[in-house]
Amino acid sequence: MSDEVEREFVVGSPLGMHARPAGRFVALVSGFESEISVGKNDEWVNGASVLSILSLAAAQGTPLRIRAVGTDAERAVSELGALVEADEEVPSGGGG
Amino acid sequence: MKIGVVIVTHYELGEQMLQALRSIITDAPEFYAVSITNQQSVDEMREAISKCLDQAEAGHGVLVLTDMFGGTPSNVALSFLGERELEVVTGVNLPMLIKLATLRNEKSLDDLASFIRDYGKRNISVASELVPERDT
Repeated sequence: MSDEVEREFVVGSPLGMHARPAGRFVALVSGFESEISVGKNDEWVNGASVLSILSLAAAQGTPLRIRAVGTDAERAVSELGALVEADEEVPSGGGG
Repeated sequence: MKIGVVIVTHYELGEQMLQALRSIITDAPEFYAVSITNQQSVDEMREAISKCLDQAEAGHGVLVLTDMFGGTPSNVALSFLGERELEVVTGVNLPMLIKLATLRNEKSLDDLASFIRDYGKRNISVASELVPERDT
C-alpha cells in the first residue's frame, strides 16, 4: 500500500545542509522505494538530487519538510528526518 | 553507468575534484583523472590520456571532461576524436561530477555530453540571487 507521510524537521548541523550531509541524504533516499521531496517554505525539490537540496540553502535552524510517497514512507521520513536534525561534529577541515 | 568518465585538466585539478566528489558521494562510481603538466611532451600526455581511456571504457564510449576549451588538456583530448568513441565537454565543475555520479537513467554518449554541458551551465550562479536574504 502506498502511503504519504510529511513532517517538518529543523536542520541541526552548524554548517547547515551542506554538500556532505546532502550526499548522505541522497544515498539514504536511494535505499527507499518511496519518492522523496524536500521543502523549505513553498519551495519543493527532488530529495534524490544533491544539487537540488543544496539549492534550498538550508542553514542551521531552518525548518525543512520531508515528504515521502510510497510503501516505506513512514520509515523514510523518520530516518531522513533524523539525518536532517543531526548536530554533526564539524571536522577541523571545515565544511563540504 | 555504462559510459566511462575521464577528467583531463591542468595539473591536479581533476584529481582534487574527484577527491571532493568522493567526500560528498561516498559510493560514486570510478572516474579517472589525468593531470597535464608543462613538463610533459605531447606524446606523454597522449599516453597518459590513452591509458585512462582504456581503464574507463566499458563498451559504450567515454565522456572526457576538461577544464577549459582551448587549453592543452582539451586540445590533446580532442586529438582522440575519430580514433575512439569519446566526446569532450569543456569547463568541468563539481555539480557536473555529482550529477554524473548519481545519474539513474542511462543515456547515449551524445545525449549525456549535451545533458551534462547544460547541467554544468545551469549550476553556475550568482549566489545572492538564489539567497536574497539570510534566514538566520
